[in-house]
Formats: sequence, C-alpha cells, structure tokens
Amino acid sequence: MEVTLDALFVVLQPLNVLLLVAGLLLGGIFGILPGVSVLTAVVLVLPLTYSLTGEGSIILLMGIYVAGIFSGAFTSILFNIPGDPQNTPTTIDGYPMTRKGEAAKAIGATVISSAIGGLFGALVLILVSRELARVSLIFGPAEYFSLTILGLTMVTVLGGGSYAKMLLSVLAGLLLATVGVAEVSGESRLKFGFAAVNAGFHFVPIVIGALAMSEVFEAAATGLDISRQYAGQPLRMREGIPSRRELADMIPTWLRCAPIATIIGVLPGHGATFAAFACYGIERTFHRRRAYFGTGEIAGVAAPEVAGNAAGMGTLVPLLALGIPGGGVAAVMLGAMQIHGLQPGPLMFTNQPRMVMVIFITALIANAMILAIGPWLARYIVRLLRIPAYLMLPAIATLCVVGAYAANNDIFDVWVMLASGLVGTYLRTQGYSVISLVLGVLLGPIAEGAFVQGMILFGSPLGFFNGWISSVLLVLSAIFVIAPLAAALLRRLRGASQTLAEPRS
Amino acid sequence: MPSALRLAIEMTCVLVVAGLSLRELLKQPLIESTRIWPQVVLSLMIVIAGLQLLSALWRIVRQASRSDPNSNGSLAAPPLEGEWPYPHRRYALMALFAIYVAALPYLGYALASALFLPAAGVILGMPRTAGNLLLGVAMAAAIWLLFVVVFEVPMPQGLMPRPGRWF
Repeated sequence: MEVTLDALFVVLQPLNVLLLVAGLLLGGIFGILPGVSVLTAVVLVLPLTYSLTGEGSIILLMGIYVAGIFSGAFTSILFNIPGDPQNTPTTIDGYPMTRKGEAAKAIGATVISSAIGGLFGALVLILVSRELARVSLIFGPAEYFSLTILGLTMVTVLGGGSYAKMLLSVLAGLLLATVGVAEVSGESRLKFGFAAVNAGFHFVPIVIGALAMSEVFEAAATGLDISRQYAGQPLRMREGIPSRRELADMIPTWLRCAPIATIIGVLPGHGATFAAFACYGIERTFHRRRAYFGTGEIAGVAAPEVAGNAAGMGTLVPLLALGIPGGGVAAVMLGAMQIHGLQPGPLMFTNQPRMVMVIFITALIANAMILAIGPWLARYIVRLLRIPAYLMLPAIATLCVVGAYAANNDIFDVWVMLASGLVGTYLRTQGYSVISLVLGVLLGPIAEGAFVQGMILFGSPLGFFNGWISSVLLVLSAIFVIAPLAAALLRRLRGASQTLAEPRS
Repeated sequence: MPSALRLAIEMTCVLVVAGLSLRELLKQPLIESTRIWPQVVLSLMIVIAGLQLLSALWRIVRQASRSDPNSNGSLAAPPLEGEWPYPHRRYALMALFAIYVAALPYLGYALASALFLPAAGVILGMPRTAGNLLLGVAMAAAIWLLFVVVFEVPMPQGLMPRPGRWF
C-alpha cells in the first residue's frame, strides 16, 4: 500500500502529469499522421528521455503509446485513411458513418471503446504480470533462454510473410547484437578491424534507423499526403455521446473483444493490429446487427478500437513480467528502461516495486484520460493534417539525427542510423521483418547471457531440457518452427497427389 | 527483377556476410564462451540462407525450363514497391540524407538542417516558392531551438557558435 501511494505521488507530480499530457498529445499527433506510426513517435522521443528520470521517461512513453493506438482511428473515420495499421478495420464502418453525417458519433464510439479496452487491458496487466513474475522467479538460465527463444519464434511465425525471411531477420538482429565486447567474457569479437565498433553497436541508432528512418524513406516513395484532402469538417462533439440503443449495441462488443484482444496482445506477434482485425471479424460473425456491418454500424467501429487498446496493454504483460517484449513499441520501451538502468522482469517487482506501480498507475490514468483528451484531439489536432508531407518527413528525418547522435554524441552513430534506415527500407520492401530485426538486437544480449550461463552450468545443449518449464518452452518453440514447414509440405504433397489423381483429358 | 533471382542474390549476400563473420570469429583467439553464441547464430543463418538459395535456384531452373522462350513473364513476380508512385523520391532523399550526415560535423546541426529541410522538401514535391523555402529554414530553426537550446541535446556545432554565446 505504501508503495502504491508512493507511486501515485510520483505520477501526480506536476512535471510527470505534464509529461503524461505531452505524451498523450504527441501520441495523438503521430497516430493521426498517416504513414508515420506510433512506433516512430516512441522511437523519436527516446533521446529526450535521456534528460528525464526513469519514471518520467516511462510516463511520457506510456502516454504516447496509449494515445497513438487509438488516434489513428480519426483519419480512418474522417478520410478513410488509417493513421496506423491497427485502425484499418475502423475504416470499414467508420467512413460510411462520416458519409452519413455521423462522424462525431463514430469518434465518440472510438474514444469510449478505446478507453474501455485500454482500462481492461491495464487491469489485466496489473493482475497477470505480478503473478506471472512471481512464477518466473524460479526461472534459471535454461528457462530464460527458452523463454527468449519462444518469444522470438512466436514473433517470427505470427509476423506473417515468408517464414525463412522472418527467421533471417531475427538472426540478423541477434548477430548485430553480438558485435563488440561480449558481456560474459569482456572479449571483443566480430569487429573486422574497426575500432569504432569496439564496444558494439548502440541499439538506439539501429532502432531509430530501422523503424523510423525507413518509414520516412517509404513514405517518400508512397507519396501519401492527406493535406490536400483535409476539408476541415466541423465536428460537434456533443453529438458524439452514444444513445442508449447505441450503447446496447456496443456493450456486447466490448465484453467479447476486450478479453480476446488482451490475450492476443499478451502473445508475442502482431499485437494491436492482429487483435483489431480478429475482433472485427468476430463481431461481423456474432453481433446481432452483423448484417449492417460495412454500412456504418457503430459496433463495427467499437470492435477494432476496443481491441486495439486492450491488446496494446496486453503486449506490456510479457515485457514487465518476463522482460521479453511482445512487439515493437514494447521493444523500444525495454530499450528506454535499459537506458535508465532498469531491467524489466521478475526481479523488477522485488527490486523496483515503485517503478512497477508507476507503470500500472500510468496505464490506468492514461487510458482514462482518453475520454477527456480524445474529443479534443479529434476536433483540433486533426487540423495538423494540413501540414504537407514535404515539410513533415524531412523534419522527422532531422529528429532521427538528433536521436541517433544523442545516444553517444558520436557521428558514427548517425551513420549507423542511416545504414539501418537503408537496410530497413530494403527489408520492408522485400517482405522481411524490421520488427523481428529490432527484437533480435534488443533480446540478443539476454539470449546470449542465458545461453552461455546455461552452457557453463550444464556443459551441453541437452542441459536446457533438464527442467520441465524450459523443456515445455523449447518444445513449443520447436512446434512453432516446425508446424508451418510441415503444413507447407503437406499442402505441397496434397497438391501433387491431386494433380496425379486428375484424369488426363 | 524476377523474384527467384532476387531471392538468390539476397541469400548469396547473406551467405557471404555470414561466412566472412564466421571466418573472422574463428580466426580470433577467443575463449569458448565468447565464441559459442555468435557461432550458433551464424550457423543457423548459413543453414537457412543455404536452403533458401537452393530453393530459389531450383525455382529458377524449373521455371526457365517450363516457360515459353518468347516470354519471361512466369519468372517475374510484381515487385512489392511497384505500386509506389514516387520510387525515385526515395532514392533522391536517401542520397541527400547521406550528404546531410556527411556535412554535419563541418557545417553543424543547425546550418546543415537549414539546408537539408528545404532541399528535401523540394525532392518531396514542395513548390519552389521563397515562402516555402523559408518555411523549411524556419522549421530547422525551431527543431534546433527545441532540442539544442531547450532540451540541451549536444549536437555537432560545426561552423556555428555555441548556443550559450547567444543566449
């Protein structure tokens, strides 16, 4: 109780409240801008957190994350252009509502659904992560190694696209993390004679380049510019308050989608985007007004929005409880915590209980603040869409330089960021996974530490199968690796047998 | 470029990088605990890239033998970026950004950004009016003020005097 009050006192300090509001506004702005994801916002703000306390940094990042997930729905509703990938299903019913003159109603549904989903996800985060962390206190190097491998394989398999390309992306990230001094022995390796990489690559320039800079290069090629479409529709937000009938339509959606999306979020993989699509699909199948989906049905807006924020909070569960991020934003948050000497995981609950409580309280307050800040964002911040892409994208590029340089005050890091941006752009266009690469970079040291400790302890890779937990996790990882390959092989064999069975004409 | 051929080139590059890294790793006098993890990662990379390369080569050979000699359409898959309307803008922006980074230590962040922002804007389709160019310079000044002066993020000074001398 004392820790809770202490954490509440920290969160309610004027500077931290200011940081939370600034985070919500920044997240709202970046979420609204199409082609620039909330992940970019979190990555770009990372260098600013150097001058903040650990708690202040997390409060700022949580604000950005929470607002960024839902605010992309505004452009989905108003312009039929999703601000972020997880807001794509919102266009299906949101834009028809705008065309019917019900834009305010759709935005009202978005704001309320996002807040409910986020609050539900935050409650699950509080209840589950503590228990999960308690269980994981018995974990040794074998369990940690197998858990990291399971996380990486799940992200790889659920990431979609070519399976081999996803695996290679993760492995490339793991390899990048090995360059320079090995934490276990202090010996330097894989330098190729370059003194600049003696200490290894700092993860911040790689993350900024691969995630944010590549997004700028991609947006430059797509030419997506919403500024010409902006007509400045007046929104009467009083009309956004749902009627009793509309609430009756949305409540079953919230009840079904919030738990499902939170579970999807907890599992490493697509997180909010996958949850939004899955929940829209579920509602389209089971909702009593399913026949009206696609024509401007309010539950069709509520489903992906409640799912997005619930899953967004769910992705923080494995990060806090086990120290393993379930997605891109969680990975950057892990990086932000590491910058401040914090290591998420079970020990954080015993060593830094106040920090954990700060995260919990911020998650609850930030999601509740959506209700206050959402309509304001929809009405005023949407006007920022008038800023053309030719001003916005170069400005983001210069911010990337600030972020990369500030990591070590070294111009070499800016070159690393540029190289990561070029590689990231190529990977994006050729169906590789940039997120998997970043997760590999961030989880590489954890995986290596646990692997080497395990090898010293057991003397053989078979030792990782000694405990039942690590055995189960490794078997699950193997299933995740083998199942898609087996399925593809079966499909090919079935196709071949059908071709043989077909009578020749 | 045909997708199978592109995949074959990509996998060859991965194999070359992984092979060189493995050679570098084995060449260095390292203790086992330093070497073992990168060795595992590199071995996995080589196995996966090798299998992918074989699969790509097999596809190239099979499709080439099946395809009509007068058409090479079956080999070519539409490139993912083919739908993008302005691919050249991306390459121009990349080149300009590289020049910007190279100029940073000499010109300093403020001056380099003041030149980069309007130039990048022009590449991205900004109408070349004096007002727009000035807007780019003003944005560079605003970003510099926010980060370098307000948040005191130390950026390369180059030709510019330290902000402390101005304020």
